[in-house]
Amino acid sequence: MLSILRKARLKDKEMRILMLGLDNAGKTTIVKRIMKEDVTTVSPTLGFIIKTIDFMGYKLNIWDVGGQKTLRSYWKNYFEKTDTLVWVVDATDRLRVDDCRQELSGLLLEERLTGASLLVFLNKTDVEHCMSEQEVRERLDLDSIKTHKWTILPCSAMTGENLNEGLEWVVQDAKDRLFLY
Amino acid sequence: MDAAEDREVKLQRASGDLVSEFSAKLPSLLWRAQTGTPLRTPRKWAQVTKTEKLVSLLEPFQEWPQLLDPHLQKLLPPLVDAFLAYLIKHRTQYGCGSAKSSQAGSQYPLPRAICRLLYTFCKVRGVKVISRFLNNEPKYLDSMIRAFIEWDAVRPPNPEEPVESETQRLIWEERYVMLVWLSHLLLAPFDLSSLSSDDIPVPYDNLQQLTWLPSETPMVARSLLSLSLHYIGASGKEREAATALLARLALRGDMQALGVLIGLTKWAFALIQPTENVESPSVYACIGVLTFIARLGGSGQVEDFAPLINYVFQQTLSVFQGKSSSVSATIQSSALARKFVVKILRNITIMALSLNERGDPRINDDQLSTILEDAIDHFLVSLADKDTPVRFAASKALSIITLKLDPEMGTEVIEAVIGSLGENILFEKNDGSLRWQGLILTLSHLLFRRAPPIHQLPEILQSLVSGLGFEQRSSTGGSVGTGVRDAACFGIWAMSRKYTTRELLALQPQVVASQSGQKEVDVLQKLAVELICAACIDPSGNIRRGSSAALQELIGRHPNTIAQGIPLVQVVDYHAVARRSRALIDVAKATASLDQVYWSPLLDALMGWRGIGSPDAESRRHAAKSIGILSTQELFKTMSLVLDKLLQMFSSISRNDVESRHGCLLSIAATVDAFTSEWEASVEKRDTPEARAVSSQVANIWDIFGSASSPTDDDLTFQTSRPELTAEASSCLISSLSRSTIKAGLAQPLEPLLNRTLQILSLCVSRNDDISIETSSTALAQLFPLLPPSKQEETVRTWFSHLRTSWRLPTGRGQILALGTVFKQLGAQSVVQEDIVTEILRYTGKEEFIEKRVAAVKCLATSILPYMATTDTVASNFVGFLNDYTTDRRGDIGSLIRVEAIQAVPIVLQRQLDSTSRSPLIQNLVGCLCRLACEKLDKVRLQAWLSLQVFWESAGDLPPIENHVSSQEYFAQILTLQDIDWLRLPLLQGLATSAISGAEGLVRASRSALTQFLNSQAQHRRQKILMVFLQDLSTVLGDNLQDDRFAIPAVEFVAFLIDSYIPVIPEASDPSFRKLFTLVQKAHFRSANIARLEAAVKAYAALSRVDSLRAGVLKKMTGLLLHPFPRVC
Repeated sequence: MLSILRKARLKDKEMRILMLGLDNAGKTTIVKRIMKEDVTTVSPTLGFIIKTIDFMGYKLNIWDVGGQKTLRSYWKNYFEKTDTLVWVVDATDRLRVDDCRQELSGLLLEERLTGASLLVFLNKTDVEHCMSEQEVRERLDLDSIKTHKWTILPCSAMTGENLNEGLEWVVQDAKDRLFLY
Repeated sequence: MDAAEDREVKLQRASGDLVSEFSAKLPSLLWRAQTGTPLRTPRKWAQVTKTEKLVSLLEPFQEWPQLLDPHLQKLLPPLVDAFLAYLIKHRTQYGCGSAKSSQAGSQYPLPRAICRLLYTFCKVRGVKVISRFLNNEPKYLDSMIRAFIEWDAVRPPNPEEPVESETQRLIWEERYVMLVWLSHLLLAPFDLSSLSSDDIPVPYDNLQQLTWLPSETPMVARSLLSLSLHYIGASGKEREAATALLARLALRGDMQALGVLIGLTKWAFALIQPTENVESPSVYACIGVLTFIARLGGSGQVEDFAPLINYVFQQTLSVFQGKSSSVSATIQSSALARKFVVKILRNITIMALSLNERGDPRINDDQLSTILEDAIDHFLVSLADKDTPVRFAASKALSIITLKLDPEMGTEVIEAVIGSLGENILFEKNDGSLRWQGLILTLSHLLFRRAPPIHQLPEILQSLVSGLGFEQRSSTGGSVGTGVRDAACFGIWAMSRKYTTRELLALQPQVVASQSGQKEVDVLQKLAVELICAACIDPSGNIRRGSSAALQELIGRHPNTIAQGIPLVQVVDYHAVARRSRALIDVAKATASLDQVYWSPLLDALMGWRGIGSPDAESRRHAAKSIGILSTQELFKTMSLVLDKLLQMFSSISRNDVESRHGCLLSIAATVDAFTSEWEASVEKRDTPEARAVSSQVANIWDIFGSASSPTDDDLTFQTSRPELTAEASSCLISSLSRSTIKAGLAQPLEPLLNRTLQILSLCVSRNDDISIETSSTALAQLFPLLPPSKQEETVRTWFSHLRTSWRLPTGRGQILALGTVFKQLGAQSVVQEDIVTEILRYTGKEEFIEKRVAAVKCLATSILPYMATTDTVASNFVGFLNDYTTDRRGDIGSLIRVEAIQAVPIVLQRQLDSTSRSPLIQNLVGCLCRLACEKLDKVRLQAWLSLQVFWESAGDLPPIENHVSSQEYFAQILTLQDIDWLRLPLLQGLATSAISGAEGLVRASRSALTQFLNSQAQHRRQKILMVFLQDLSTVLGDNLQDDRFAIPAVEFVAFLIDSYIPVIPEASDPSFRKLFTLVQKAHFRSANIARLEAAVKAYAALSRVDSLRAGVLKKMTGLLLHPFPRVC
């Protein structure tokens, strides 16, 4: 029993976060900003990146997977035991917003993501004339999501705005789940 | 128990140092020393010793892997980088061209060193965590495969390069790490065909098994398939990595499009279901294949797997149940294989459930119900598996599946589990406890996932509570219930965590069987009570700790529901319960005093199988002590309750259950003791009705010895009925009762009862084991005052006659000690006392058995001397005891007597302190002490020193004492006594034995103390002391010429002194040396004792340096050359 307890404690404090979104949404930049790395030299992600950070006593394992169309069919390789799905939206990219909605709704149907919560990062809000939170909310049809616990946060990877708030939501969500039962 | 905790704490403190040492030493292992150049070059070879040193830095973390977590980010990337750099730069030179081929054995190829380290990381922290740090850039896939194939090939030995064969090929750690790395690289989100080049070799000729493999399969995939198929049947760890690689490959989208998933699944089952004429696969191949299928089920997508579900399920079951007999026998014989079968069935069933839920046509209701039925059936059977991992897997599987079922069916499964608990499996001989563990564990896992609905909680809780008290003894007598109780702890822990306070409080209190005499309390409180009992009293340390953890969870998650919750958590602490005696006595007492609720359940538990019914005597003693302490909870009121319970219990225990009777009697004795001390302490409460009730209760306890359940003579003598236990218990009880009767002035028991108890004690005291003798002689001392004087004398006389008949027989030790203990009770009868002294002195004689002599001396020293009016007659005997050097085959057994006798000296001395002049007797005794304080046996020296110290401090005319007793300083200090004339002789006598024949360290300490003492004196004084020493030694030698024990050390000691101090010896000392020379000659005159002769030769060598004696000595030595003993010549 003691070994089960120990294992349970270990797992309590560890989370797997999957970072997805269309290409050029700024997923890797967000990760780099969170890790306090240089964000000026980001190139399109070929494959994927795994980063681990300690945040409010939790270990967050972030899996950042490239968003190019060819790679999207491989997304499901990374679903295993994901606690939180972070969906990154490019607030300046009005053209592909339909594409974005379809990809997201496809993901939410995935059986392996049923237990995961959803955090939508509305990135690049530091750019003028970008889409507002309300607009994205409508165009992605977020309010119809009933299967997952979700939230949306406008943020900016370049200024770092709201990124920590997003992670706080993720951790708080984990705590809620732990104490809910 | 406590040690484990200490190790963890130590590790935590040391972890920082280990990590920094690791990171400091790593770079030089991996990279060539090139200061200043930005581009680093990896080494080709790494030193074995350095690598192993680094591995050993990591190993300690296995106990507490979390400590490593914060450092992984820093430690792993350098390893990964160096490996890749080697891959690029030196791939073709693996294992060859060692710069110094002579050192081939002491060098690893760099990849081997890195993989050893990476493997250690995997072992410590888990492969899933470590693999995250491996590089995943797809460009390395190609070279990694090539490297594996090239390095792993068996190369023909090259005559020009005599490299040892072991460096030529990959070792298993390398294969493991590289296969893990390959499967990590396969996560790349690109089609393999885009990563493949056509010239990648396919290492093994095993792909023809896969006849369905389409021709357009990329070469990379072919190569990887070939690799993993080759290693899937390996016996080593690389099998695990190979199965993971194969599963990941098969699940890739592009591979599925080629039909690899379905093909490989079919291939796997074909392999473990061989046709008639094919050799059946090895057990490793079976495990490998099953692991592969389980992994497919574990990480595959439901949609991809849908067409295979029925097939895999049926095939797995049929393989296991033995349509092809030899393979199924192999699988059933391996715990690992059975575990994977459980896992496969679990994964498949879950997939089937979710497919059906979506209305997927590939699984219809009928198929689903067959699958469910078969799977659940299989799990229920596996719950009783003889191997723990299989039971664990089965219980977990059941709970996960139950969670996915619709509520109605889930309830049915839970009912089935509870139902099997209710069956009479306790009477099954072999697997009762195993099945119980499996079932309870299932319930616990269910609770952990919050699967059971609230209305089923009552039944589950009942099972858990009975599981917490489960115990079964195996046919050899060992305990086998621990696993069940452990599982129950887990269940309560999980329940406290997953259900809300409101839900649990709403349960009917009757759910958990009520503890007797308790006011009705809610379920949570009752659970807490159960946990506390387990945490204080359970025989297994793990259960006590587990219960403590569960209690903490219960109180923490449901604040304000448990009486005195927070103090309770502090008292029933995880560390406090680790030691059994501490848990039984201190923790139980502290808990009971927190709230009345806990008192009665603890008492009941202490009276049960975990307490005074334990199989080992020591636990029963602790439990009895604890009961005694608990009985004082509300003074006389609770005592009366406890006594009632115990007496009732005692009368109901069968006579054959000697162990429980032992525990029960001890508890009664402990409670009576508690009463006596309470009576003495609180004078004002003596007159309360409660106190009077208890005293009459205590007075009635004597009746036990007149009742039918009294210990009989047979109980105390027949070896088969473990008489030592009954003897101890009855003696303790009689002792407590007598004390209580006298102290509290209770009514005396009637004469027949007293006679009976005396008879019982007489039987006990004639026994031969220490505990019986000790407890019964104490009891006799307590009982004696209750006896009339005539009876007392009669008893003593009986013992005399018994002792006389057992003269020179091993029995009688008990009577001797008993005579001693009753001595002081006989103050009014000085004639009897004198007789006792005479009688006991008789048994100190050398003809008697050593054990009895020791007992007699001990008895004189501790029980008789302190109570004697005049001591002189006896004291003179003690000089003899202090000089007892009897030896037999066991060695210096006289030392036992000396040690006991030393205890008596301070008592004699104390009497004489006030008199101003010292009698010769006292001088003699102190002299003996002084000698013993220098002698070579450590235990004697220590005791003698302790006694001497008392005298030294109290006597005004000795040098001041300083407070250290360790080795050299100790001797230096005791040497200052040489100033006292009457102590010098014995001092030197003792010192000679230590300085010559002691153990190595003792010889060194005593000699250096002596030389330092002499050297620190002024020239003139040094001469004088030296001469006095030599004269004294002559006296010692002269007195003990025939006694090897002193003569030989004395001669050698003389040799040592003369040899060391020849320059200081004054001219005019001729006569004393001449006397010494004569004595030495006498010492070996006509002796055939080689040790004597050798000592004499040493002394001659030293004496020959004295000019006036040289001629005579040389002549003597020339004579010795003709001696018949070669070693002497």
